[in-house]
Amino acid sequence: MSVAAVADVVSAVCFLGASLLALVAGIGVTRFPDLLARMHAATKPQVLGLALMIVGLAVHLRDPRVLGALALVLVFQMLTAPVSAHMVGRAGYRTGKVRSDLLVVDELTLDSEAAQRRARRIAAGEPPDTVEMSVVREAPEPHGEEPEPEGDSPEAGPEGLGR
Amino acid sequence: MTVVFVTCAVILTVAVALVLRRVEIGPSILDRVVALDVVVSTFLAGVGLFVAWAGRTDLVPVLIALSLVGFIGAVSVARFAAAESEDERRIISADEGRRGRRRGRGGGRRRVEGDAGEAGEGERP
Repeated sequence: MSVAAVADVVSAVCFLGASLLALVAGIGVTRFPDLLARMHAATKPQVLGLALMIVGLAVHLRDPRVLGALALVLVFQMLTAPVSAHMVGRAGYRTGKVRSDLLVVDELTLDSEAAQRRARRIAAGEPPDTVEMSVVREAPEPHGEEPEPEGDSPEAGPEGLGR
Repeated sequence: MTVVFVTCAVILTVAVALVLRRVEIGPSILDRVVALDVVVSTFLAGVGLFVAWAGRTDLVPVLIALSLVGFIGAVSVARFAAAESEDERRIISADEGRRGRRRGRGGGRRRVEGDAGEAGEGERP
């Protein structure tokens, strides 16, 4: 088996994998029930699918002159995809597109409610309870372990407290 | 290898068709913009497939440009996405479109775009 044959097989597998990831994203974006789940499906061809496509392309072309450009494509996509996902997730949370009944953990809502209670207490002249946030956060977790936050839930900023 | 290219092209076409369905039915603008992001990344994969099939390495800068600017649309739409009520979100019926107003909104503050001439009688502010 020559080098060209091996490269052909490798690039064919990469191309098919990238295409199947795009198909998975299509099915997921069509069938998933809410915005965060659709965003989760949408990231598959954006990073992993594109990485497979770039690897397949590099192996197929075997041209050292385009390797840098292909690496640049992947770097740019990995830099920009989180930006758009963050913005869309934040806007989705603030405009009420996140279905809280589908979430396992919703730390952002808990934190913002705790912060609002704390702000009310400060406004009323009472001493703020500083431990309240961490106490509230641990309450709904049955496993004790610290799970990853669901999907692309936006970070709580000072202006993100009111939905 | 041609078989692989044709198969990949067919799979990508089916994927884009499914995603475009979400673009059409997506209940909110954010669902649509997420789906359009998937269209962009699928298009990236399609261009990459074409580069491999035709050996057109001069098209690699197209991939760079697409991966650079593909996120701008989603970011700018998400920046201006506003909370909308269930009534504003739904697709109006033909009758409501003819009357130029959405039903169930007191005062008729918001008008449906593109049908200004036939706005309801006597309700215009």
